[in-house]
Amino acid sequence: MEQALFISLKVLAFDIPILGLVGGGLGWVFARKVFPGREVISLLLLLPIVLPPSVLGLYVLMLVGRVDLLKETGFIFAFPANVLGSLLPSLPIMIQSSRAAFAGVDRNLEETALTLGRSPWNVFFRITLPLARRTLLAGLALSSARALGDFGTTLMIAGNIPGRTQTLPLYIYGQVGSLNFGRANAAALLLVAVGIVSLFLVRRLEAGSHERVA
Amino acid sequence: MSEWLEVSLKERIGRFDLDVSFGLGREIGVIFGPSGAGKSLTLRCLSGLQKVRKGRIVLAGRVILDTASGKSIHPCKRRMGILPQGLALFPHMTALENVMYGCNRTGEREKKTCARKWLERVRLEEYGNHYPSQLSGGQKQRVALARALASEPEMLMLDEPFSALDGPLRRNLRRDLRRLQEEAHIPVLYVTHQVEDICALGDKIFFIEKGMLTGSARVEEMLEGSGRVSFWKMMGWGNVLEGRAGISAEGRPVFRWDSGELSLKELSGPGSAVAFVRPDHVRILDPRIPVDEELSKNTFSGEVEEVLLEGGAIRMHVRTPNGYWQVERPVHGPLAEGIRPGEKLFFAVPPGAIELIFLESPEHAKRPDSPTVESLSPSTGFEESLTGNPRT
Repeated sequence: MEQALFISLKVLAFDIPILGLVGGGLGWVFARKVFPGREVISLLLLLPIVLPPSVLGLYVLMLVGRVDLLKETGFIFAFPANVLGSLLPSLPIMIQSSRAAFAGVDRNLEETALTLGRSPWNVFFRITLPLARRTLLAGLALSSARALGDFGTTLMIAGNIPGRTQTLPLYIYGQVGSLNFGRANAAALLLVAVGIVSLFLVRRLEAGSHERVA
Repeated sequence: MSEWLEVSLKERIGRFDLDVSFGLGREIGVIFGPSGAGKSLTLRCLSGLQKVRKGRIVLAGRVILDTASGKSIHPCKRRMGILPQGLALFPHMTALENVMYGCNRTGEREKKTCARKWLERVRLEEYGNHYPSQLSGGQKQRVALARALASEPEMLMLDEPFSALDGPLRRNLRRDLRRLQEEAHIPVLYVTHQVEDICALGDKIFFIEKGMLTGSARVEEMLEGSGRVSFWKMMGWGNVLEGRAGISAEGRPVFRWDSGELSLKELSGPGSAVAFVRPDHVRILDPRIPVDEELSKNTFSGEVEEVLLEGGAIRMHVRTPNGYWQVERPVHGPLAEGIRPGEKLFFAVPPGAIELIFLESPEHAKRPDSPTVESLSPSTGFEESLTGNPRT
């Protein structure tokens, strides 16, 4: 189980920054920029939430099979596929959360900050980000929990190779197949605990205010 | 002589066209107009928050915008501070941090010193550690004002900043604003739809309607002589009646217009005149209580067509057989609460509240030696005679 836990944590170590930067960035673009096809692109990016993981995995496999460059990198059935497999269904959650977070920041505050002589970067880091922070962190907690628990897509593109691509959910699947319910339960409990902590964090972040507690 | 601020803006948003040109010195200019006239849009265009199709802005000799040459300075470099309607205080910062954010200094210590100085100037030095949610309405206004001025702008724009506050608080804040403007010595553009703001704050007034500047004037010019008539008309505020002043058959000084008559307190001379009655000087009556002799000649009744909340006052538009009247009362004043459109309203115009502006010199002034009873005017149907002191 330690190996599976280690791989899962390693996947998260890659996923969290990508979710924050790519998901947060795309959320900001959808919240703040108006361009043709915005809603279509936004809907396409949401598809992984509603598609069955096996379908998602199948499409990725087909894509890799048809693009020589991707085939040559050999990332299928290897650790990079773990990262991609867990990211695909969790990224839309982060995009949606960050879109809501940035859309919830009053434009008046940003505009007034600009007229006070501050640069757009300064306004983003001093005004926008602190005000969107709570919803962004809630989205990050939810999407990270989703990434940690991914099973179907990871199985399709990374396989279930112990010590190489086997994450905690795949480990549980393997243990149940071998009728080792004790080990399966221990791993499952760990994931349940992570889920509860994530939800607790989300609730606290949503209920809090922007003001610092003295 | 060129002004400190010179503005010419043309912009179209949907079907709304904005077309304004004006100049302002280092004084307070009030942009006055009804809701949806383009007042806030003008400020947004000036600050650069709204792109402009065609225009030119020169501030203190610096070209801020010139669409002809493709020049447009970014809002963060225009040095044009703005106080939006909601004040836009940063909720995650204390009052001190809000002002520090505006301070045009390098280094945290310098910024803190500068912010403390500004909080002192607006008498809020003890509230530096309070968050905006812990401040009252007036305190928030002062923090926002301090923050805007701490950035050392070359001009300041205020978008109906005191609209949500009641009488005494508004007066205090107007005094603060006037004092701070005199200290900073920069042009201030103040958007409002409240008349008292014009009289209390403005050096210059710009009237705006449907995106067009319909007129501008200096306040002192508009509050004196016949200029007041155009002032009242442009403001769309108050009761303006055009008719003739004279003496009635019973020997009373009266003002008569095409659909009614008002008893006057005194009359300097007969002649064509405009009568103005401030809506807040019109007295609402309780029909069950008898009125005194002076008021009894000037009582009216009609149906309330519209009730508007304007700052600390309720303004009612009343339709009477003698035309439309504007009646205003404090929000919490007696007889004002609970009045709704469709209800009947009794009111009186105190003779002392009628201001007369003669459209020409009173007729006796032209003939000082002939204080005789004049013939009846067919159009007015009442006797005009000369009484009282001649109008000079």
